[in-house]
Amino acid sequence: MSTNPLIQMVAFFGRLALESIFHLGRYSILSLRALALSVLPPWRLRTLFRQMELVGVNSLFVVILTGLFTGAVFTLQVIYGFRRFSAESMVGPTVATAMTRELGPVLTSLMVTGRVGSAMAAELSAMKVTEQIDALTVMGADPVKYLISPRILAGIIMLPLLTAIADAVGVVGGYLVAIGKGLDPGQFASRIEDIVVIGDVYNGLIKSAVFGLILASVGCYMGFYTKGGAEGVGRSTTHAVVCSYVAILVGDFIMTAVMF
Amino acid sequence: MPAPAIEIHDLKKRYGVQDVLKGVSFKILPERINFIIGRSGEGKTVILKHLTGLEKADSGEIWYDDLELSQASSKKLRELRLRMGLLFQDGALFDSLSVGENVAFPLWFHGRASAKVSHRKAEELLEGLGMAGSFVRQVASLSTGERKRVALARALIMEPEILFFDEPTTGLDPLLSYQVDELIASAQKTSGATVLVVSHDIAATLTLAHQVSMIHDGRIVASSSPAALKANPNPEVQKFLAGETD
Repeated sequence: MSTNPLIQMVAFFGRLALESIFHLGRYSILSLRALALSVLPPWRLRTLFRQMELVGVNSLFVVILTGLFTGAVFTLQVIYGFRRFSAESMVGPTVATAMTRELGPVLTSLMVTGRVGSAMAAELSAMKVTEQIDALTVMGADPVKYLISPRILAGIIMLPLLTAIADAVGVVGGYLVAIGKGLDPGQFASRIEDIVVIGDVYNGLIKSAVFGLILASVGCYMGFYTKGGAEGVGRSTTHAVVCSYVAILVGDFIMTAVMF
Repeated sequence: MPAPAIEIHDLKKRYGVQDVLKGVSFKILPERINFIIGRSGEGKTVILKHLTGLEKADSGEIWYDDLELSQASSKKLRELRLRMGLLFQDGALFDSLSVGENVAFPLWFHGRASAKVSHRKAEELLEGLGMAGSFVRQVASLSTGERKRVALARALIMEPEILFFDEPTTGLDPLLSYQVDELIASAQKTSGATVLVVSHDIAATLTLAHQVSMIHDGRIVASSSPAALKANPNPEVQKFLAGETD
């Protein structure tokens, strides 16, 4: 190997690029295969409902808390700013627009990634290192269809529902803070109706479905291709969370630029 | 369907810079108990993974009757796997399921039997393996020996024609080892399955095997009956049988 630092640097970035392309390709193939298999029979609804419970129902509390406090703190900041221009009547629509377009989908997805995406990666990695995935394969079961498809479907279905709840709770949190700060309750609500359009809500929910796909597929990918023992499980879990966060934030920027 | 004849031709596999299999060739006797023996790290489990299609060889062929594994479509491979049972070294039980659900899983998954019949069959198998009343126990609460027995029950429930065992008695006390050996012999006798056991347990090999193949340095250095193996002049074989280290 050359000792020239420039060549070493080029080699390093070259290896990094090749590795990234390899992972991106393998991730895309796995995700597309899981999605394709999810529409083919046999459908294992019990497995799907179990995953929907894990992704959705079990995340409800943390999502409600996140939505409530996000709406509340955002309202506090907005009131502070808007009072300078006597624009308090715009607080409600601003909070509602921010919650439905951005804060609801993104913060819900980030919270669910921390709770569920990491759990998916940890569970599948543990199954991988203890040969449970090999056992499934030898039994003639397709581990992608049995393990990954229901998780991805559950992510796509449950994230918009959780986001809708976070949106609503966030607006309620903002409403309560606004009243506490002496704003007119009727004005807060009625201006939302005037300014926020249904497209804001729909697009936010579409974004959250994509985030659900991202967090579940990245978690499953990291778990499914884990190498090593307990150390590998830890590494996969960390990578799943970090990569999902980055992918969600980058995806959010791209979708926002296209949608709004 | 009769158990297929299995042949391995010149199987080669490299992991990184290490050549693990350097041209493994041998035949597995159908409807008999076959053993692969060799020291730890010689590639016995790697052969098993190739035979079950979990690993792809760099070169070489594995034939199940007239089906070459690397050329098999995913449908053919799945059909073939439905005729196999594999006991993993550490059991590979599903942690999220109970003992009974683990055993009944293959029947349930392939829709081969109703929930009631799967349940009953799993209970019968567990009872036969000395684990009556364990159906609802969690896998995490099992000892090593119990895990092996549950994994054995799961491997047997589909009544496979080919049974693979990866070091079935490793980590077991002598009594349990004897019981597992007996179970392998009786399972083969009852079902007429082709059995391949990966092991370094010389005593069990010489007692149970109809054919023994020994792997050394990435190649099969002997493949014969236990009696012929004992008379094999190859010094590596003799050293292994005598339990000598290099």
